[in-house]
Amino acid sequence: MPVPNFTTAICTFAMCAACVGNAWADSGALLATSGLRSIEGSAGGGLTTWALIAGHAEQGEYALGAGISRAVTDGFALTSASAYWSQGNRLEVSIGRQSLDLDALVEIGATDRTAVAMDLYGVKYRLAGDPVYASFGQFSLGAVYKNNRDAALVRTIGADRASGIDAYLAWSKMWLDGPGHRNWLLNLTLRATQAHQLGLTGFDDNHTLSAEGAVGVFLNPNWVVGAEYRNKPDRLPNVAEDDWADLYLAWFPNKRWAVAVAYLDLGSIGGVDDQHGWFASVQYND
Amino acid sequence: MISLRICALTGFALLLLACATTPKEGLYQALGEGPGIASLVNEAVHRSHADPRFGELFSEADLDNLRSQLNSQICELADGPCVYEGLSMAEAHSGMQISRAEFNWFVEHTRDAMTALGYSVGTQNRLLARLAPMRAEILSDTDMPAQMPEEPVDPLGMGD
Repeated sequence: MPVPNFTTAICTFAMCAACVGNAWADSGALLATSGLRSIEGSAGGGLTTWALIAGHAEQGEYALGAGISRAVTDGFALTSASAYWSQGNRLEVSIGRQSLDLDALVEIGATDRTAVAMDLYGVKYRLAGDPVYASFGQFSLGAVYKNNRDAALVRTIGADRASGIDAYLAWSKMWLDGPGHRNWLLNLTLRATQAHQLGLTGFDDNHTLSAEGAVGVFLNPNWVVGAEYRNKPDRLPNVAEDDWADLYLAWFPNKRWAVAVAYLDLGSIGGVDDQHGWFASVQYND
Repeated sequence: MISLRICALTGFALLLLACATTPKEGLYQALGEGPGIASLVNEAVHRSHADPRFGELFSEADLDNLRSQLNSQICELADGPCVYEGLSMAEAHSGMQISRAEFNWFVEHTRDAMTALGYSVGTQNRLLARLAPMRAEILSDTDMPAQMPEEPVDPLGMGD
């Protein structure tokens, strides 16, 4: 549970942001309800998955889209690319690829590999509700199958397996006319996972529960500022794993494009402590 | 973890304090009272009427009647000195087969009209939050429970 200073910064920034910002031009009312592409491919923020279904499809319509993101810390860099297909604001199917550069580990001689890659296949189903118009918000159920392509490295680290499945229940709710007369987006996800560090350092034989959440305030319909927190299991005996947090700013200029930047606090990764850094993502919705 | 909680609590308290001490203006006043609401209704109806995606929904509508009903309804919703005496939302839209996409387009036109007329984001959000609960009755088919009470209320208890 690292770095209280960072969480202080998150709160201060997010709370202050609620009372500013009337100046930007805006357009459609519902253009941000598709969310962003999370690093695991499904609709979410950056580090966390949300209950939103990707794309702007309503009943009888479908949507396609793709996104790419890069997270860079002192010792590592993670590139994530993903694409999705969604049907009628009900079902979302996504595929993704992550590639983690291991510069920090190469430097200390822990490995001679320069990168580790993982494939992700996700599905998300909206159980009930609507983030804007249902008083109880929207609930979705999802799963992601992840396959780490470097089984040898995973065994070296001490993980049981090179692949695993996450299953999650997610809730999203847009609070209309919340504090500061702004619209607020709240997300909470309960996840059963086998993964160590998303699976980039392998998987356990057994599932464990973790939680993740995000809050965002719409300064206007095009700009959102917020924070995410992701609780992570810490089950590899020799390599500590910390919870993740970030503070983000997202821009939805229109229904097709969205851009997000974030300041990351990822704690200890692969034995290298205090991994802070920056995240940027861009996504396109057909 | 303690620091996280303290921060969240103090931050939220400060926010509420800041928002509570901001001078409060009634929504009806923020909308510019009768004339302001009339120009907003004109603009939203004009934009919807000019949007070919709606097909006959607006081109065949009695626009004078629509504007008049919207004026008195928004005036009442905004705590203005009006009583809406028209049909319920379910009655007014029955048989129109309004889809979710059409509902979204009208919300967007209303939002755009408010922006064009210079209303602040806060005023826009206040009005749209009061209109949002009508969606369930306006749509032809919805998988959400109908939640619209007899009289429009502030669904989130935020007041003004």
